[in-house]
Amino acid sequence: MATESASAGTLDLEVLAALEFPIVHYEVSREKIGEYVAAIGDRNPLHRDPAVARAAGYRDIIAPPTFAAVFAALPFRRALADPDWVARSTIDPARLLHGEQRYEFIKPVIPGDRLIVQLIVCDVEDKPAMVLLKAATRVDDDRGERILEGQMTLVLRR
Amino acid sequence: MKVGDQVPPLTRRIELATLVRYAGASTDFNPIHYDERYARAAGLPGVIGHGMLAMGLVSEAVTDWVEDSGLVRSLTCRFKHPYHLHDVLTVTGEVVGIDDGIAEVALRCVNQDGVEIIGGASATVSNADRSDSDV
Repeated sequence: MATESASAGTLDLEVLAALEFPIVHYEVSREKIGEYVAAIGDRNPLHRDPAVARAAGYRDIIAPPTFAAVFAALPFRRALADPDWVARSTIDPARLLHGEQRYEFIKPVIPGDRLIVQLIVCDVEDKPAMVLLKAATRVDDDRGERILEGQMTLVLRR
Repeated sequence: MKVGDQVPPLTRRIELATLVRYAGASTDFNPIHYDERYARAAGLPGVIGHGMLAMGLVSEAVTDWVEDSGLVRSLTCRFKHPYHLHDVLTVTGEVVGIDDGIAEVALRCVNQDGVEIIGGASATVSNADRSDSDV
């Protein structure tokens, strides 16, 4: 397999445990929910038709639960898009995999929601062929109501 | 809803267009999900699908079944094995417990060879005590 090169970088557990991510503000749009449900092939009318959603007691269409994938990981994605952050992080994005994901859905997400997304590192676990990075997501709306909580485990292959 | 109830299976074939569309919708543009050469250089056997897309299918199996997706309280997935282009993914699930109106549903997602792509998955759904005629 690949040999270590000086520029490849080595995962540094202390650096990983101290990683910080930007707080992201995200406004939910009807179009983005539509794009998401089309991409996964979801046909549920609650996610597409405001009249059906209102008849079910919602103010508007609701996003499917895993629409969270669009906004909950944004602090991490924004960080990965910053070459300086990546260089400091000791993470090689090409060797990064998603190991586990948990979401708790507290309030349905609807178009027009202004979300505030925060991500913090909870745990770094050293394994022979990889490091497991566990991080918690908190998503609130702009009135301070909790929308969602999440926990993700990222697999950083050596 | 009662213990032993089955979630109707959901099956989806994964093509490059599926992954490109999902990348655009989710804004997860990691090239391991659409660029064969990049994926191989990263030590993978080829392009692999987004874990979160497979989790989306697990979620969809549940929401197609309960219809009111706002009843889903939590969802947990372990990404056990990568999936690839042309794979056919199937999600199945079963109610394994009901406590205080909250149903716990055990779920898995396998490929066409029966390999678990997502295992040890679970969802919790509220209003489990409503009558069957409401489901």
